[in-house]
Amino acid sequence: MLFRKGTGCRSLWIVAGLAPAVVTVAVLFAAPLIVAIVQSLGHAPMYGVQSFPTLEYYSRVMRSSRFQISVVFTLYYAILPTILSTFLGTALAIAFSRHFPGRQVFRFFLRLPIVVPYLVGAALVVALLANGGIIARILHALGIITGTSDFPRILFSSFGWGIMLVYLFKQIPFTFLVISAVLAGIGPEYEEAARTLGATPRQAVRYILLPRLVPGIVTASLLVFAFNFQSYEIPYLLGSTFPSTLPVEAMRRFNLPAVARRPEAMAYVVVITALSGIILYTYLRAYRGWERRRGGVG
Amino acid sequence: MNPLSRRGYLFVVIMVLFFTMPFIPLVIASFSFRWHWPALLPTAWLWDAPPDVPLPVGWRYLFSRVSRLGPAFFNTLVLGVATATGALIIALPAARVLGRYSFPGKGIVEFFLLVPVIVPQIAVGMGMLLLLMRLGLARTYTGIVLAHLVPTLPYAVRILTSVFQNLDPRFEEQARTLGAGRWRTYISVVFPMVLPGMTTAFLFSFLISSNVFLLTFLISGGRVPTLPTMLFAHIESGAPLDATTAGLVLIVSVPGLIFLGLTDMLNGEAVLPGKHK
Repeated sequence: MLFRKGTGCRSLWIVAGLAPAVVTVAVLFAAPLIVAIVQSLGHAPMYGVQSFPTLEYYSRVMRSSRFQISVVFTLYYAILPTILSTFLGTALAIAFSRHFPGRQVFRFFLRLPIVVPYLVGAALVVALLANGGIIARILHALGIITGTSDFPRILFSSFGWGIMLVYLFKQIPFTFLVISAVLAGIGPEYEEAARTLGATPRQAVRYILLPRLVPGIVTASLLVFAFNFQSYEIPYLLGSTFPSTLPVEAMRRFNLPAVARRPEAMAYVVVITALSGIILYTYLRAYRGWERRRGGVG
Repeated sequence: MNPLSRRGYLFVVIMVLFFTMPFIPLVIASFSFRWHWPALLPTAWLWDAPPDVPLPVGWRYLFSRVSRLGPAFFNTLVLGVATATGALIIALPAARVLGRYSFPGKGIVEFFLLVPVIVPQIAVGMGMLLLLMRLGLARTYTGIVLAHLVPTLPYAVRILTSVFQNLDPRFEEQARTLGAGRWRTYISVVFPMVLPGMTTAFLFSFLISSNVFLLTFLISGGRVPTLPTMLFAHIESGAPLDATTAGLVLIVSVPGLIFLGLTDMLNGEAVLPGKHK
């Protein structure tokens, strides 16, 4: 009796402690998503749209070539920087687990991009790479180009160099920080043991260190991809007008004076959420499967 | 600690340059008055400009009342403090439970509280705007703070959970054994031990809030300018190496710099609770 009373009291404590956070997240994040889904299915009386439930908006959105091209470019702008920043950020973290002069100062500078808004990255990229920017001026001073029009169009082109540079500016340091924390948790012992047993430095990193970093690498790359896939302001400011990314297309429809087309914008954001969810879920599944085949870290 | 190879060192230096060099032209540009193509340095500096110039640029513009930098700075500060306080109050009890107890469904709760980080903010923002309009909270501080809680709460929960995981419950038990009451134990034992972690969670939540653009942009409808929305407008309309945008970039980076300095100070004290090795 006493035991049951004790556990009952404890579970009440647990529920009471969790309730504020769970309710807040449910209301602030799940409720807006439900609103978006309901509107995208044709229930928006304030805009004079009352055809619930209909898939008309989804079919209209998904059948347009604009949407299909946007999917491809959104994936491209999201995936390429994810791969690069994962690779470079991990390499940096491993380098910083070694000793070298200036380590503390360099660490400070590397954390700086994490704490500034993405928009700061956008302003930096514009100052450097715009047609009248610093790099164009340097090329002019060197006699390589004669006018602004000779400078290659790096920003506002569908290659997305500007977009991807901003992502790298923010996300290499982010990955660096995540992997550094994992490295600090592992400690130098395993690597030293491997070296003592005759492994070369390269072998010690490849076979001893990297397998232990995989969970951290998966977490970091997952967060980076999830961000890139839904980012609005960077592709809006630095990308081409067409093709553009899914969030830019969604906002364009949301801001149209014809509010009757807002359900289309809602269909867009629901599709963005669903696609992002499917990709992240597949990635995690693949990772779990790989981990299982490997049998965990030995 | 092993020394870094020379190739490794070269890699580190190149990366550090990649992250720091881009700031240099902006610092120069913020002090320029005229910087025409193709000059490598400004053709006229801010201090060369006549004081009664009809359209002030750069710092002179930013610190004049026309720029509305003051309100934007104030809004960013108020929203950040309100969001961080809210996130801390809501996250604290949940983090205590998650860090202390194991119970069925714990994994699901932890996952649920982290999901807002990976769900597209554009979807949350648009849906939330419609809800807030119904409640008459669109374009208000309250509405924007509610929106900012979405990206901040998961991090606050995460940081505070690890604080409670590292907090040895035996300290509390000892205090109780020595005759301290529940409140006395909390105030004199638990609180001082979780204070550094709470400060970190507060600062981090403030930082996220002060960096959010899209949610503010959607919910405020341009009525509540913040530093990020102001910077957005300037990048959208300004020329490259524009003195005002450059100065604004440096101002927008200030909260982050303060955050780095403060967290370094906190970690430097090495008062991480419960880490007795």
